[in-house]
Amino acid sequence: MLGSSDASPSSSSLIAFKPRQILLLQQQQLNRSAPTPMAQLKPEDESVLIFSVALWLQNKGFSKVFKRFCTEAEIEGEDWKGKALNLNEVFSKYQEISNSGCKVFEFQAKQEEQVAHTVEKTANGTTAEEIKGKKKKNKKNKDDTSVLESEKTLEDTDMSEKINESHENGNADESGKTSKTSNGDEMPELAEDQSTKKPKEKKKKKKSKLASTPDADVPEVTEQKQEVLSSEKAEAAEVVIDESKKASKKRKKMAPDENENKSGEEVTIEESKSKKSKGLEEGKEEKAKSDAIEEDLPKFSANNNETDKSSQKKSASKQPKSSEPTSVKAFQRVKIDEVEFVDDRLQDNSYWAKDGAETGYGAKAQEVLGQVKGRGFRHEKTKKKRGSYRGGQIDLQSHSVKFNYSDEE
Amino acid sequence: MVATTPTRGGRGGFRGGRGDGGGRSGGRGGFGRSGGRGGDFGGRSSGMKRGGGRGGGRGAGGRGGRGGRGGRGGPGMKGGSKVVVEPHRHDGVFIAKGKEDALCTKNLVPGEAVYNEKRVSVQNEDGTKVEYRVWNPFRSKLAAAILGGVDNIWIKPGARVLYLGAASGTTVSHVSDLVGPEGVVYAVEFSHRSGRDLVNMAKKRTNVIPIIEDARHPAKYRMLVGMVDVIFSDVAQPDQARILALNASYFLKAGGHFVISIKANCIDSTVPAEAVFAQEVKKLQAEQFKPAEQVTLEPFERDHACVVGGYRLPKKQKAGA
Repeated sequence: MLGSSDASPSSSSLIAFKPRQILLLQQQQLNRSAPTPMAQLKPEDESVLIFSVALWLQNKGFSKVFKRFCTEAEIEGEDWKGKALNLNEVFSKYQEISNSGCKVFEFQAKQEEQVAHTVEKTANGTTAEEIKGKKKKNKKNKDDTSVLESEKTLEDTDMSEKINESHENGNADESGKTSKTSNGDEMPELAEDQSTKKPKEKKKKKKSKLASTPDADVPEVTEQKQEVLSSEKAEAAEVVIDESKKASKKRKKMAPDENENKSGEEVTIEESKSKKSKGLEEGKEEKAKSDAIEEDLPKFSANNNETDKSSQKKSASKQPKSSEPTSVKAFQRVKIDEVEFVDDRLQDNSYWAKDGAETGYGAKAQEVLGQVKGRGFRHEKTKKKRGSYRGGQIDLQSHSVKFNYSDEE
Repeated sequence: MVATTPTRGGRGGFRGGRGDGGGRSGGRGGFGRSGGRGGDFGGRSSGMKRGGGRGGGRGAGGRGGRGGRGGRGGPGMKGGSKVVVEPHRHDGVFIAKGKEDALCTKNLVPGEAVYNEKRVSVQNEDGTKVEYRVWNPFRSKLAAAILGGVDNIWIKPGARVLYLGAASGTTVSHVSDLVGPEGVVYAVEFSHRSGRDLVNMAKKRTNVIPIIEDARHPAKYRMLVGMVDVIFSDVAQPDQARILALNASYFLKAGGHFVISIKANCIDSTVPAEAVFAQEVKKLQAEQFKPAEQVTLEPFERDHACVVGGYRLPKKQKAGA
């Protein structure tokens, strides 16, 4: 599923969605019979989806459901709202698209949405919305990079939440796609563990390029699943390090095999990336550095198309930014346009333009010093400073350029 | 710290291109400390052009080789060669005419060189000896301006001069010669390192008042400086016109004069030097200054110009009436 859904948006913008609609239809119908294999969304997408659902619930005034949902989905604080998509909007767009194709499906989706909102997240509901959210995200990726960037920065801020989510998702995925309500009992523990684990993880992820010691070192890891996940993650990270150069090709091959395992790794990659970009944006570092990082980025993001694209988009959106300061006019104290010369002789400050230069005391020095610049000039001048200079006769004439004020007074 | 031997110190002084007359005796007597210090400078900042190596070692060695007070010999003049000193168009400035000419000033402190410059001693008919110090235009922008053919430097015997940007006091010493015992030179320098040399120089020259302060804040030294006739400014700062105007408003008498050396690269290195000079002249005009003349300091300095003018000059009608 990942491969198919991700390959299509890379080709073109709107037309690319159509196959997915068909896909969705098929999958939805499949889901009726067998809901389990659907929940293969990437964790970051899933978190976005969860947030958007929460937002929708809040906006609609389902306060109780919203609260319950929040507690279950571990949504905290207010910053998730920035990440959330407007489901109404998504739905309207979706309707527009699907009007041409299938109206039945639309109805179904609506129904499912409502179901999802009112009760709990069964796999059906999630898939429908997941896909939608994903679609929206893809669209965003393509349409406006600025939104994406802001989203990214927001993502940075509550990356911690994300990690939680991702782990939950990973667990959920791995645990044979049991419904989340059943998994909910475990989750607080998990969350606690992970929250303690978080800082270490972050540190590691910063270094993730260099040394990716397996997460198994962390003492708080209690559950086997988690261990498995983390070790897998570590392996994946190592793969990234080892094959960072060939990565893009190899990983595409690997992608179908390691779908789930990679999800964790993707998070790490994205996080490190976003941290980097954040540092860049906030620290206002030099362009050269950002370029270097941009070079690095594709290596790590080659895993799936979406991250790839986002990185590319980032770089693409950065380039105009970095080109802006160059386009801004350089700082100048003297505005060359406003300068006017009272005397023609003032337009040339060189020695030979002066009166009596040929026989002047400085002529010999000018012959030497006129040839050199910069360090050479200093070198030659230092020689002359020693007092060995012989310039010939000193004339007593005035050679200066006089300013005349006869017209003023 | 690598080299604390006097020879190394001497080299530092040599490279720095600046000896110190005042510091030399100290360097000799308290050789462990002062010589060591000179060596330190030389070792650390051998590339420093100005105010870096001041070590007295070189001066001592050079003089020892020369023998006693080797006063004879201007540039191109071997000891004992015939030199005639003539007054320059500007009061207090002299030209030592021999095979080659050299600009010089009458030494206020005979027998002392400030920065290892050459000295010319002339015996008058009545047997009195007068000593002149050679004024190197490559070291002094004022000398460069004089050789460039400036009309009037306004600094003459008996004048009170405020000197902004005195550095180590090489030019200040010549200005001190120029104004003579009747005049006074207020030398303002912000850097402590070069200010130390300035103070040492001022110890020998009673008409120099060293002020280690920022020329941007004349209020800090207003108690030391009286009304002056001329302000010489060599601060090489982007806002040097403002600095000059500020100091002029405090200390320069109405109808006084200014001499400013403008380094184009210090103001804006992206535009041609000529444009910078024009802009600066305009700025000066806006500050009640009346630039009278401008002269290039080529070839002695690169992209420098010297502007001379008056301050709050009385109207010409009054002068005519």
